[in-house]
Amino acid sequence: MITTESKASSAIRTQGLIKRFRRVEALSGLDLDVPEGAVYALVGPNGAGKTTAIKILMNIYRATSGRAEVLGMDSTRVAGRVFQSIGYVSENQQMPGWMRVDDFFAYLRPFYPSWDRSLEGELLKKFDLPPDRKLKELSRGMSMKAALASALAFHPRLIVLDEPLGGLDPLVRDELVEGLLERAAEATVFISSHDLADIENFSSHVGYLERGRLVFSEEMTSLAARFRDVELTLDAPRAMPQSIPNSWMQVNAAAAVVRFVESRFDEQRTSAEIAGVFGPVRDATFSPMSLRSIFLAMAKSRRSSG
Amino acid sequence: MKQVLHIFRNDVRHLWIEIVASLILLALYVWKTIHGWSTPEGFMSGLDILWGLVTPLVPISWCLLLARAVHNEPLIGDRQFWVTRPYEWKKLLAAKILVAVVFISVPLFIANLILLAAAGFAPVHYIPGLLWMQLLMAAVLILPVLTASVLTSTIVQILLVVVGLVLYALGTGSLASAIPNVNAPSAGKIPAIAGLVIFFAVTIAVILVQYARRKAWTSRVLVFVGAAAFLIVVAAAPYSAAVNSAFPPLAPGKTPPVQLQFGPPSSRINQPSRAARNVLLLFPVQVSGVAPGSAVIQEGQLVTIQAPDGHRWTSHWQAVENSYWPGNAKSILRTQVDRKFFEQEESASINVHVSFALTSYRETDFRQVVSQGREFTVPGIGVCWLESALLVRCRSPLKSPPLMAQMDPSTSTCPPPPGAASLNGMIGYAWGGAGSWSPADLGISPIAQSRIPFHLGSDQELTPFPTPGLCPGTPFTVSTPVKGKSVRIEAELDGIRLADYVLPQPIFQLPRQAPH
Repeated sequence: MITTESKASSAIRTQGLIKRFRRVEALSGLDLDVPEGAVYALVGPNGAGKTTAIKILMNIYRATSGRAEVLGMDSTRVAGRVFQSIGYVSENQQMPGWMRVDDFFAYLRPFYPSWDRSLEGELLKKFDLPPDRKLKELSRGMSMKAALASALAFHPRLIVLDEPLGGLDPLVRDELVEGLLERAAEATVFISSHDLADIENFSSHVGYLERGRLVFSEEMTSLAARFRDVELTLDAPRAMPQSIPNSWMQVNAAAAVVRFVESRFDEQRTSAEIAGVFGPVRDATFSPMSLRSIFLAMAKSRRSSG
Repeated sequence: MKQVLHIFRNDVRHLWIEIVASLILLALYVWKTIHGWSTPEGFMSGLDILWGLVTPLVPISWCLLLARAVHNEPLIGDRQFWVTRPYEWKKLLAAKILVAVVFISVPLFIANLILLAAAGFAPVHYIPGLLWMQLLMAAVLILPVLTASVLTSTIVQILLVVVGLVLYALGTGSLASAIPNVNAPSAGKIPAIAGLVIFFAVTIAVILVQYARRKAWTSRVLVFVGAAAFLIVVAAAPYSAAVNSAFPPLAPGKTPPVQLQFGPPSSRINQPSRAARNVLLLFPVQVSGVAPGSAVIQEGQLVTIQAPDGHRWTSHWQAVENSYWPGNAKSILRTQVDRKFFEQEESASINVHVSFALTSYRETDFRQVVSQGREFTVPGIGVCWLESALLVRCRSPLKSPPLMAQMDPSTSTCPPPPGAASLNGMIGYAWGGAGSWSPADLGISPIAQSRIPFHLGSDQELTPFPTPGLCPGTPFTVSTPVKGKSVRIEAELDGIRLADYVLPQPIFQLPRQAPH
């Protein structure tokens, strides 16, 4: 696992978090550190354990073992007033469908001393939520917008979103993200998604969870900086050397062209390593990679290495 | 408190239809009850049957209201929006209790005040009893419904819980029926007390666990453990020891509170019903020796039949209620013998041994009452009226009071019926029950209906008809029974044939329809 150095204060921190559902281990020793102020995206395929991790953080589930802290508090104590600082939205949350949108907000208001009526109005307007419509009559996208607006209107210190964007059309998704980002400056955002494209453009940190284990957790800028798609054009076709650096992934050669993914890119060092392996090359290009390409490369590399 | 009221207001807004429905049903119940007091009982029309549904619908509407209020913030599942909102569990629970208090307890209390006033009783005198009724209602209705609701998230699931409870009750009843002496007098106290302790412990624990932690599996395990513990108590309770302790044998040399001696069998030759699993035997009993000013209540009996070939049959302890009064009278001891045993031993010379569990009561606080053609007040009892020549019915506040009564047929103001039997100075007695320690009976209505059924001699002997009874102007005496000692006495009948004691069959025969 790769982790960047954590900041002094963490909004979320887990240590050796394990969750078993009978024989199934949903989380296998999760160590997570979400710095305050970050927009942290927890990504991974379906069934990776993202929702389980979030439900433990929100004290909906109890961990089998390990420890989790949310806003400096043990997650098992996250209840009641603690939620005055946490906005939580989940894709499959059961809302009080009988309530109208305006009733729902009016009902929630007294629970939060920091509820901001003007912000509430802004969010309702921005998300184009019909105040007189019952929650059960809203579309999925509208329902998510109502949930998100209700989770933002009290200026939470921590916003936890469990797959909020899945299955939404691009327009609604953009509206939600935009609404979220406007509030991100004053809060830590922890968002889970199985779709990298959803979170690539606005996350400051990313963690990749697979089969209950955190494969890496890193700042997006550092991640983007250290991964490069490398293409080398050699003078002539050549057999692949036995020994290549550990940081090279998915190395393959076709005639005189060699391609690989460099996971510790530094132009000088990488160039020197290339020279060390292949000798002088006719041409070398280092292309930045999308988050999706990085994860695909990592996933394939992990699969091929067993 | 602000959060409690806020959640409460939200429940009211969501459940106003259920609230209004329950209040209307309660109002209808009050009207129907008061109206029923002035309407003679008789053939029920379709409308009467519909009216009759109001009574069960009142508690059903309460159950529905409370369950729906709890389900507004369901405690089962992990996807409810409220779980990650700043709800404090104690306040959430308090809000649900407030729904029960405001829309069940308070309306019931007001309805009770109205019913008491309408029945002619000053409500202010019965406030402690009414509060006790509220506690009973909370224990019997609110607590179980809350428990079922915190373990479910829909009304359908609650109905499944009810089905499960019915099956459990049937299973427990079936288990209990196979346990010897389970019907012994006083023996039911052990499972009843244990059941109450288990019930309160489990329901309160489940409600707290669910609201504080939402640990559904822990709560379900608690319910199953409680149910299993009750079954174990029912199966293992020392019923025989309980009855022996409650009814110790009469000390040597002491006079029994009543003399019970077997009489000769009926001269008729009877055939037992072929269809029945058991054969009903009737043993005539001569009753005497009850002290003046007292009554002896038989609460149970144990019949053991010993055959000369070594076969033995026992009824085990059975709860029965017969009353024995001063003077000589005839009574009948009834017991159902296993058919197989009967057929094997019906002609043999057998020995019958009977243990009687008896409690004596002393009359106190005599009140002379004169019957009237309309409703009349009986001090300490309530408002009474003549239902028939031998039956007085009364409405009493909160519960059926303990009472015993007597009348002298020679003072009857009824016209003597043709062919009236010679009474030879017999007195008519009535046993209205020893009352209960509880300040009030469980129910929606605070008005208890009690009966004062007069008969001549002891309970099981049919009153000779026709006989002069109670008519307007006939005096009778009501008194309060004070419990004396409980003892066990024995009686034997040796060298008899069971076949001589069989109940004539059929006992009831419908009159044949006359040919047109």
